[in-house]
Amino acid sequence: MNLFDKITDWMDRATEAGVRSVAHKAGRRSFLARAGLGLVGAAVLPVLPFDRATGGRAYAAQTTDEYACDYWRYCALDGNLCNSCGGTLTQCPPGSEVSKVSWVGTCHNPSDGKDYLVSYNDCCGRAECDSSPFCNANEGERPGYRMGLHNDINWCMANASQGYHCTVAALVGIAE
Amino acid sequence: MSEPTTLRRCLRPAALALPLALSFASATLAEDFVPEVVTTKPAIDPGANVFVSEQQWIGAGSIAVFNQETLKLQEQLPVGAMGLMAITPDGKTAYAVSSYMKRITYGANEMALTSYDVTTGVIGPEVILPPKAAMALGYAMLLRFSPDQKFMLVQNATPASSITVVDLASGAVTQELPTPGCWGIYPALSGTKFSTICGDGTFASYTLSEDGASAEKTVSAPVFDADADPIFVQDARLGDTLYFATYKGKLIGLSDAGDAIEKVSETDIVAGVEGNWAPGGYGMMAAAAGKGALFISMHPDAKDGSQKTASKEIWAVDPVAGKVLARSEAEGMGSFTVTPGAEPLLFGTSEEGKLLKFTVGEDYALTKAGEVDVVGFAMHVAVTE
Repeated sequence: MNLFDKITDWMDRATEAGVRSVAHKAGRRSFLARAGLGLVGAAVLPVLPFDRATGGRAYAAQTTDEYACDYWRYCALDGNLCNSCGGTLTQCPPGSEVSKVSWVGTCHNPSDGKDYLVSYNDCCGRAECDSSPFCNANEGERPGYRMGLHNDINWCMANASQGYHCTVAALVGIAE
Repeated sequence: MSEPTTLRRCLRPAALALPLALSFASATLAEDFVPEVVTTKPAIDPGANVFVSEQQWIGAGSIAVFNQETLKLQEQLPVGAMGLMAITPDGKTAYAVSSYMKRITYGANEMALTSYDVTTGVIGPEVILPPKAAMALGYAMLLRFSPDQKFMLVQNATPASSITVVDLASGAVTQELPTPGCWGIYPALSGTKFSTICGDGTFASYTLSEDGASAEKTVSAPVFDADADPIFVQDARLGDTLYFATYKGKLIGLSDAGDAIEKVSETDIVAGVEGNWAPGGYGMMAAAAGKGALFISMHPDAKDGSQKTASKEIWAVDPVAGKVLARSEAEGMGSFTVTPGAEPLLFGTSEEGKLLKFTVGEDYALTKAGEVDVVGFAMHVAVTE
């Protein structure tokens, strides 16, 4: 079972009550830490999260402007950038809720040559932040049958407030 | 002094003069004048329609109903946030699953399955759903009827996957069917059977009991590889065969006639084609039942991550032979559908917010025949005739 099978398997075994229970008991930081441990641990497995044998990357990443959609961390980000909505790369805007669940991308940092696992958390409970750049990058993205890699869904789904506001991109592991 | 205040002052003499003028007019023209009465138009114009899910994530959306021939907007059926659409095969009833958050963007989320009379625009009845329905982009396979149309099947994500089964006659939720690791709803041709795509490359099939309260499950052998060459979730049916396209341009034919899904064909539509073309988009494939062909949104220079790229061309394909029948320029379309007749029409939505209409020639080539504006995330287009 590879990394993303594990993520999907875990998600599908978790009942909604289970997800909420984890979130309530441990908080988001612990939830992510758990996910991050799983990701890092699984990264030694020989199966890559997605097949790169198909050719080049669609994503021409740069490392200097985090307010532009081609910033390297956003390789699988589909949504509005929270750093342009009052938040930062890893912080939701004031008053909004961090999503309790998230999808994961694997993005290449051209500066150090490493592939990082990026948790794309939605921020919830505010109107869609349409004044920020709307990005739609899909490197390694998969349909809902690989839910942990899917970005065409509202990841505020497990929150008390489910209005989609914007998306952050937090590094949670190294994929090599 | 604000502009509105200035404007009001400028208009004041006119406002004073208006009653005098009306008084004069009424004295001289009263005998000829027939006051108009404002009413609600009782029904949309007759004719075949095309339905566009004008989904919104910031608030209420609509199902927009356009006349196929004229592209004239007939009506808008009101939908909540992140709505998903389904239309009965006779085109007379529309359904939507919607999110209704207490304070629009926050607060308790009431999810409803709402029906609409397409002819009159009348809303209802409505079923309150378990608040688990997928709040997703407008993918058609997330809300579908059982083949016998007795049940509505609603894809859930918490993010654990399950399907809510609704008895449409009684309005009762009969069960929440766990579908771990699987996604999408693909009805068989008859009865209560449907299938779903699983992340391990298999399909799971379920046959509902008569009351919808239970289901029998079968699982297929793996029919695709989600790591090496995943399939798009958009399906297209020709007869007994359900077709799915892969990210790399293969067409996989599946039979759902038996207990479990079986792969019956696999062809490569991009083999030998220059330009590294691949399928892309959302509702990116549709069957032209009357011509036995599939239409697929294609883009060149395909790479990892380009799978949602809108069309540069739309290809007509014979899926049995794996032969490309025609390549038509049709730029910027992410989703489309095709009417089922012998002289099909293709309707699709573009990234620029247009609903586009194409005719299909004898040679399967597309010719643009009109366009009209649409709003929102218009990623699901449906026709029934």
